[in-house]
Amino acid sequence: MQKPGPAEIEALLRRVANRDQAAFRALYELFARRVFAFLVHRFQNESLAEEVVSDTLLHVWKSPESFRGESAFSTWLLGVARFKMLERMRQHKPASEDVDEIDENLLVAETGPEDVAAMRERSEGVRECLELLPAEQRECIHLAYYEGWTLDEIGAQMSLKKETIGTRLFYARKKIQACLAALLARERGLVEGLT
Amino acid sequence: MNMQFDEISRKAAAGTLSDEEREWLANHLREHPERRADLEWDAALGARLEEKIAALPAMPGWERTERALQAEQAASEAQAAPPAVSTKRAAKRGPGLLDRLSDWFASSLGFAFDAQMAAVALVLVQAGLIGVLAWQYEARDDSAIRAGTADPTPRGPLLRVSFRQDVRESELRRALADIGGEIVGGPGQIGVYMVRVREGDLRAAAQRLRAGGTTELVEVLGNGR
Repeated sequence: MQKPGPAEIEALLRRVANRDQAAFRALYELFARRVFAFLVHRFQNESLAEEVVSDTLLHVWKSPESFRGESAFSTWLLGVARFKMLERMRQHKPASEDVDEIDENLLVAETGPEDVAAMRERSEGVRECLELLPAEQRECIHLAYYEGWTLDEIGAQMSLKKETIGTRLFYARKKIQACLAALLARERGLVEGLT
Repeated sequence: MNMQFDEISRKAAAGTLSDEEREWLANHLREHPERRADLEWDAALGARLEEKIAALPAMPGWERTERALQAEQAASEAQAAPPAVSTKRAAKRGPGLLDRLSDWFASSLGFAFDAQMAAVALVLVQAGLIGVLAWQYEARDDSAIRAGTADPTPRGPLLRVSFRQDVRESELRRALADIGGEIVGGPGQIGVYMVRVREGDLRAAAQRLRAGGTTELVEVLGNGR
């Protein structure tokens, strides 16, 4: 997916400040899917995510000056989207999730060739396993592996220490590996049962 | 666990490595070849995420956003509209509603409130009302309505694609991700989608789609680059 440079974004924002709807649409095209992907991965609610994408970009339309250039535009935008989504979610249900529960069994295994092969070849399985992660771990995975954010940047977004983010990523990774291994074992069992 | 390696490996997966980090990574792998599996695993996870995201709609929520923009524009146009009072016509017909209103203000408040001021006030009240209605329309809860997600204005060159009936959604998404395509229109009543390919040769993308075995029809519309 196209990731635009700061100069291009700055030029579009200047035009948006002059009420240029074409520039706003261009900005929407560049960022809406990215914001949507983040919200869907984090909150798993597509219809609400769609509304929040709209609200977030309309916020840019109404007050483009609220982006003060203190971070990358995409970082700021995802922060706005996250805040708006949390607000909407609070209206729907209270948030109560077990974030960092630890399964000691996950700690032993190292990444091996089988894990790499499973990750490469089992797209569907990877999706299933990602959806099984706690929301906060999914959020860390998305920001680290798709947006390429550092632990410091993710920590700032989530108001947490970078060590906490590191721990979440570590467990998320181990859980995905364990989940994929379990899926493969189940498949093998089914095949053996048939022969 | 090497935190620096882990961080750089994740950035490599996201495709955001700087030259300096790339060099550090190459040196690190020379010294620790056993970490290559972690790097490859991270890269594969990044690719899976990229694939999943490429299959999402290109303009989620655009219809709702466009409605809000139109409402805003209508409200600002209403505010800017000049008061349409023709003094000639008013003189011919005798005192109209505005004049009577003006007279009533003058008599009850004790100062002159002419017809033009009354007209401006009326326009402002109307504009305010439109603004409030537009705001309510924008703020209403649409969560029960699944807005259409495709780009409402497909532009060429495009592919016209009909997928096989037994193709699963995941296979369809994979086929689109493989050619860097996104659905910008359809499906029509006979199941035909319009697909835009973000970059590269459209004809080659069509060829790849046909070869994938998930389609019944693939046609290039426009010049196909």
